[in-house]
Amino acid sequence: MSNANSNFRSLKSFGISGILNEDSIVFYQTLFNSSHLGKISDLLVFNIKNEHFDELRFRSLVNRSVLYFFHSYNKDINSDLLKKGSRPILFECGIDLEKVAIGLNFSKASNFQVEGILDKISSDDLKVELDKINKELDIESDQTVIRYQTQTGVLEIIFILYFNIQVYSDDLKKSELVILNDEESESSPEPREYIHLGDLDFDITLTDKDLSDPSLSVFRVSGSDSVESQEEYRVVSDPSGVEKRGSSQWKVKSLIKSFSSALSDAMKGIVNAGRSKSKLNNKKIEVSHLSEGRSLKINSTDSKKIILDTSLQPIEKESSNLILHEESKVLEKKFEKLDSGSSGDDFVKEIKPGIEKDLESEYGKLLNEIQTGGLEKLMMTLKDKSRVMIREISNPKVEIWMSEIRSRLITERARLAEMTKTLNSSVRIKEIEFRNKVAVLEEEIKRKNVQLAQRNQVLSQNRENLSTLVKNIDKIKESMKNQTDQTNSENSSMKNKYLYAQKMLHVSREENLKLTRKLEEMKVQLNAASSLAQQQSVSSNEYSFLKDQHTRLQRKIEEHKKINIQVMEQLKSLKKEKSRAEVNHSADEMKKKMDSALRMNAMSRDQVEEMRKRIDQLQQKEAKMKAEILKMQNEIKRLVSSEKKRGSDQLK
Amino acid sequence: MNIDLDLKKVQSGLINNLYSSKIEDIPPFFLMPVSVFVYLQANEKLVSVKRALDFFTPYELNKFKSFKYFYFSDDIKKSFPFSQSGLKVKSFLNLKVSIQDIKKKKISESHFPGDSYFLSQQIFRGIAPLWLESGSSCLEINPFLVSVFVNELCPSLEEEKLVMARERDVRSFEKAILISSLSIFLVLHLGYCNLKFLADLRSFVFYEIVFGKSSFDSTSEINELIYLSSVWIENSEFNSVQLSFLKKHKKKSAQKIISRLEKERVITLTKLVSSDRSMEIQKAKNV
Repeated sequence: MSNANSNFRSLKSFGISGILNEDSIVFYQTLFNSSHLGKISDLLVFNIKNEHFDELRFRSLVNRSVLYFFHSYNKDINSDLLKKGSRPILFECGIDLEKVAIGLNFSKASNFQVEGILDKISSDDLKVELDKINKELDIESDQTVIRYQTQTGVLEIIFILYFNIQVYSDDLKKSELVILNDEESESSPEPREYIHLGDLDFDITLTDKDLSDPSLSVFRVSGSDSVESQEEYRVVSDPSGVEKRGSSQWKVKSLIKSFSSALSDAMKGIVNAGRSKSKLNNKKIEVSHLSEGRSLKINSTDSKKIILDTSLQPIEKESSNLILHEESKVLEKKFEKLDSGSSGDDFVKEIKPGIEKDLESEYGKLLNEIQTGGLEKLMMTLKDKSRVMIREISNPKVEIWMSEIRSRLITERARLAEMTKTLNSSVRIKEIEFRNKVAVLEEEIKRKNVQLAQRNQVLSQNRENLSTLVKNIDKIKESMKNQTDQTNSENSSMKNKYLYAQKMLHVSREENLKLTRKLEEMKVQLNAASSLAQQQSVSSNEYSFLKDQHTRLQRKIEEHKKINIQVMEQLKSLKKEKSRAEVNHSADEMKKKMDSALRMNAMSRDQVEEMRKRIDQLQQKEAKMKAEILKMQNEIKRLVSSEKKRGSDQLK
Repeated sequence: MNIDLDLKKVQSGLINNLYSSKIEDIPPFFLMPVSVFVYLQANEKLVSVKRALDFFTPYELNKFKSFKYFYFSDDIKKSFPFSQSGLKVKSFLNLKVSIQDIKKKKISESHFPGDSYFLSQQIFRGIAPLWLESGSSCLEINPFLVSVFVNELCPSLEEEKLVMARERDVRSFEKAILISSLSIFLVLHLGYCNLKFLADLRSFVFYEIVFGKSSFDSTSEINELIYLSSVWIENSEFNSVQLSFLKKHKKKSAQKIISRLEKERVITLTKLVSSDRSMEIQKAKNV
């Protein structure tokens, strides 16, 4: 990278601020047409203040670049603007200490090919007219930077003119092409200031402040030689011009007043001299100090010098004392009012009685008067007359008188000088005070604005807080209401609970009593049940006895069955024998025995069945009794547990 | 300063305090600056028929003809400075000065018609005070009132597409109106003083937003401003936003607007100070 290019802050951002330094100023303007380019270049040129600035190259570059690119790329700018992708040209011109840059930003036209443009610019074989134009413009400038974004088609061409190209001539890279993707583009760095060309007042910008036209100036009030306090006011015949120039009319008026007062004092002396003829006779009037050239200078060591181009004509020799006396009377009448302390304006009125009361018109007329030389003439005549008097009169008394006049004049002059000093100082002080006041006011305004902004913020915050508080309060109120309701309900519920508990207590107590009674009854029943259980134990003994009997009887039955079987076998055998021999009697006897045995069996069976029934009945009774015992036991347990619970509840 | 978009009912007793307009005078497809009401005599109620930023079709106007008058809420007062400046800027951009006017010294000879930088200066001086209409010490603007300004400045959007956009989605329709209007307003600050260009840009942005495009690249100045406007509207939800919002986004166009507005503010302050000073000097003279 060359030394010149190393000064570029950012190549990857659109806008010429990336090409320029931090202290740069960028002027910009949107161009919809190529008219008024001259004014634009005028405005820019008047803002570029550099010794090495090549105005001709700059103007030609501005005009040609805008014209060529505008008409080449944006022919139909006002129709279908956005569909065609054409937009107005953004024109930027930036200035820093080293260079001036001209930038044109616009969307690419369809026939403009970006890639390879640098080669096209450098080579001689150029086919496209556009490329030729580019080459021409590149030659105009010291350096060219072309930026192009591929996705959006935005194109920017920057032409750079260096104030001192010799510094960079060796290392300068003539042209630079930067093709950007959307991701690569950076934000453009800030210059010192952006100025829209419309904000520059054309009339004020282009007026030359250094013009000096002596024909216009009647009073030139110049400042001191020192640079710091040098101030110059130009007074023109038109009082409105005074205001335009910024000089304070009242200052000049006050100076004229002082001059008029000085004149009046001088004339008083002369009038007094005219009154006393004896003083005037034979005395030389030395008014040499009045005849110092053609100017009456009131010197002051302050910064403001008042130079009045007046002439004091000497008093003519021809005039006798009478003439002088007459003139002195005339002057006396004119200055009578000055004795009473009237202002210079009245003085003006006396000179020209037809003047209107308007101070400004009087002032203008006074100036005219002075300009035309009326006062000068007066002074000249007085001078001449004084010279005549000096020549004619040689009375020592007159000399003394004149010395007195001289001393008076000197004192008056000194007084005038002091007055001017004080005036100047007061004017300065007032100016300083005004400036300080302005600064203070501006600071106060800024502070107040800041305070207002802060207060507004505080107010907004307070309002927000208030709104949140109100909301909270509402919520709290609702919750309080709910709580009161709840408390009320709770109180009522508590009361109800209390009453209910009391009732329950009563009830529980009654139930306890009942249960205790039941317990007692149950206990009685238990005792009864226990007695039954004892009886059951007796019945159980009977049951066991009966069981034994049953088993015995069953054994007997089995024995009898065996016996029966044996008997039956015997019978059979007997029958067989009887059949063989007559055994009816034994059979009958056997039959009887069998019948008795059978009856015995039946009897025993009946007894066994009865015993079984009894056993079943007893078993059922036993089960019932057991169940009743269990019930009683459960009821006892429940009663005990309920009593325990009630006791605990009561404790709670 | 916020505008109430959803005023649905107003007490009928306040009817005398409302602004009214004959229904005949309302142009179709003109975006309403505030909510529009009609008066139901039977019920003695004022009922809203249109929300702010909405418009009437010819059919709807015909339907409401029997009511004779439309009534507008008190918020319409806030929109007066904006509508007036919109008309003023429009007159500047349509300025056609004849040689006779120049001879009569109505227009300074140094400024010929079509002088773009002079136009931009005058337009800027006309729109800069709108940043202080809210009454706060900070420079802030309400995008809703900006749409009123742009509505007066630019011709109305295509009727068919307006209707389609509204029917598609009311919220995106309103957003598109606000973003497009704010883009035009910001673009005017940088001197884009061509009425045709502004109208085309407004319709371009409006349609892009209504029909789906949510993001704009920030390569060119115009796209930067459209991007900033869309971010602005998304964040503010139709409320006023201060100029400091632009300072956060380090875009070239934003920097230019901020410097221009701040300079204008300093100029107005110094003018105030100088006028006070001249008053003091005059007092000293009189004494």
